[in-house]
Amino acid sequence: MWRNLKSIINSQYTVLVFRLILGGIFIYASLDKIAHPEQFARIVYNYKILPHSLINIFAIVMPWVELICGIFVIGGIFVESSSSILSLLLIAFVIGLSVNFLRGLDMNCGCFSTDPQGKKEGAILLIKDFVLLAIGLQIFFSNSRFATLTSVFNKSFNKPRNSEVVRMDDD
Amino acid sequence: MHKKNVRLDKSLHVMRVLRDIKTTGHIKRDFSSIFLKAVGIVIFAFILALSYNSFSGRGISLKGTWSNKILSDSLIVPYSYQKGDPQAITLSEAMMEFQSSNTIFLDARLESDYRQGHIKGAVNLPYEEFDEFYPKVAPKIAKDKIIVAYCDGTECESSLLLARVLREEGYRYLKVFFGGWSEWEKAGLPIEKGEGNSKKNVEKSEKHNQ
Repeated sequence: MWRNLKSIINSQYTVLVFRLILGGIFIYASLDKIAHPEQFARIVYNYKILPHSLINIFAIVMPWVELICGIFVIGGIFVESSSSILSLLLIAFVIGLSVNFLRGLDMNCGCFSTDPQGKKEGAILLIKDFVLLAIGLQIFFSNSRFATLTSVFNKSFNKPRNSEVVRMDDD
Repeated sequence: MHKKNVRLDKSLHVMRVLRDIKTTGHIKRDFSSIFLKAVGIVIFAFILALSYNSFSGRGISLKGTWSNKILSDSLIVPYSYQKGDPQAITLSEAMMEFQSSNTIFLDARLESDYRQGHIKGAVNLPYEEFDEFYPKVAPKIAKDKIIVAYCDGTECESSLLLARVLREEGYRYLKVFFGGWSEWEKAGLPIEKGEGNSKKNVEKSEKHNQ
């Protein structure tokens, strides 16, 4: 039973589904923030974690990192790098949410919407974050090349997979 | 000779990879290249974000003004305070209002904070749960009275936001005490602890009246 579950989670199809879920969620989450940078900057301010001088630059760049990594994870370009960036972002969100949870600050999370009247459900958000983090880490560690653009390119150019061989050859 | 070498190296490499799989369970990966690609992605995002920000027309300045505005020595207001907002008052003005019987203090914080301590006689109307609380609180705050909204202190905005909403509800005599709970408590002015206007409390007082 346990082995079955493990093989399901590690299967290339599951990893592909995970990639679609993680990438899709991050692309969706980034669009509203890109469209409303001012409101998003206000939400970042309300977290009261970043110094004032970094709030705007963070609010401008972070949604684009989400968008690009989301596209890369779905398309299968630099999957390991982009899934690790998304995992790091999720860890940062978990820290930001819990810090303010502990502080007793009740603010809009700004996760998906920049609407200031947005819903505030701290605990559920944390659980969602952890689930996404597990998905992101599984994508990173599975190292699956199934249905990725990188594998398509590698096949068509028939590049030598390993640089070590070439280096040894030079000697 | 050369070709043989390559073949040998390749088979050596395959053996090495197989050994790695045996010992660690998966293929050893080049973490430095993963890291470099990640840095590249972030730089790419930076360039796209900054160019979108400057050309889209919806961009914001790279360095925002998030500090509190200082209106006078004793009056500091949040950055979002604008002209035309309800009047901001200082601690001494708030004390004068406190003496007046025509003034009601309105606590915009959450009920749990209110219970831990609030300005004496203040009514709790959490901004975050306005729709839920307003019907219960409305009878207590007459529209012809002076309303002084407050929250934690200058860092919080809910008093200002609450006052803005109340203005739309038709309240005219609105003031915001940005010094809030922290300034009031620090000054040692009259406070009280205990129940907010939760359902139980309201029910109790209604029963009592009957």
